[in-house]
Amino acid sequence: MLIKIFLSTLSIFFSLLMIYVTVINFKKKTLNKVEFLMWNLFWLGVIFLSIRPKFIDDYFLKTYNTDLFYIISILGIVFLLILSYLNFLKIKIIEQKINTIIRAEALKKIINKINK
Amino acid sequence: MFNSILIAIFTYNEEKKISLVLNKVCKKFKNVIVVDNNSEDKTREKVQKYPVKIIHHKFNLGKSSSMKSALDYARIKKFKYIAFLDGDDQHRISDLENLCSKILKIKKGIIIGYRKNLSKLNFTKRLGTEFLNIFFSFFYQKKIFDIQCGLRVFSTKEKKIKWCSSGLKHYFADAEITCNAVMNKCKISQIPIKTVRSEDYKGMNFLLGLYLLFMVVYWRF
Repeated sequence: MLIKIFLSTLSIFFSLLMIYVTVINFKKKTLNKVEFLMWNLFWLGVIFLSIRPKFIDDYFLKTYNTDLFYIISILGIVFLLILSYLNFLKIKIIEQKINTIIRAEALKKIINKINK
Repeated sequence: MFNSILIAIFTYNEEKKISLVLNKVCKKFKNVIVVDNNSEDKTREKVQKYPVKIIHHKFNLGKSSSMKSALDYARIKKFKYIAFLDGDDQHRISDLENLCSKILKIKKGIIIGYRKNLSKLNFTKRLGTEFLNIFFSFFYQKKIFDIQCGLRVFSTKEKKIKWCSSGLKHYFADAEITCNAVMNKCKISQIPIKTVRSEDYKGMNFLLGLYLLFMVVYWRF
C-alpha cells in the first residue's frame, strides 16, 4: 500500500513538473497552442490515473483479460523506447545541422571580409 | 620562416589571458587566427586590437568544432600546416616555435607537445593525467605521454587526422584527435614542453574524467 502511495505521489509530482515545462515551452513559443493543449491533457490524464489507478485496471479487466493487459504494458514500454530513440536521433541530426550552419556562416563571414 | 603555418587559437571567455597570448604570438608569427566560441566577456574586443583574423561562432560549439573551422580556413587559404594553441596562456611560445620548426623539417604527420614535468600541476590534475596516459597505453599499445595536450601542429593535407566522429559536443577534442591519429597509424612525434601551472580545465571534473576514459575506449573500437 505504501509503495502504491509513493509511486502515485512520484507520478503526480513528475506530471506537475512536466506541465510546468510545457507552460515554459509554450511561453518560449517552442510549442503551439494545439501542442500545448494536447501535452497538458496528456499529463493531466497521467495525474488522474495516478490518483485513480483502479479506473484503468477495472476497464481492462472487465473489457479484456489480464494477459492482454500484460501485452499492452509491454507494447507501451517498447513504444516509449522507440520514441526515446527517435528523439535521440532527431536531436543528433539537428545538432549536426546547426553545427554545420554556424561554422559555415562564420567562415563565409571571414572570407568575405578578407576578399573586400 | 613560419609563413606556411597558420596558428589557431581557441577562446571562450578568455579576456584576462588572451592579450598575453596574442602579444607573444603576434611577435613571432604572421598568420594567426582566433576562433571565438561566442564569448560573453570582452575577449573579441581585445582580439580585434591585434593584426589577427577572427572566426566568430554565434553559439558555443565546443573546441572540436572550433578546430574544424580553423582547419577549414587553413585549407581554403592553402596553408600547409596548422598549429593549435589554447587561449589561456598555458603554453610557452618557444615551445610552439619548436613544434613548428619540427613540422617544417618532417613535413607530415602530427607533432604533439607533452608536459614533461607534471609535478607543477595540482595533485588531482597530475593524477588524472598520469592515469589517463597509462590507460591509453594499455588500450592503444602506444606510448603517448600527454594525449590531452592542447599544443600541437600538423599538416593540413593529413587525411589520417579525423575527429568529432561521435558528433557530440565535449571537452576532449585534443584527446579524440590523438586517439584517431593513433588508430589511423598517423606518424606522431612528441616534443617536451614546459608545464605551466594552469587553472583547472574548464568544466573538467571527476565525472567528466570518467566520461573521458569511456570515450577513449569508445574511440579505440
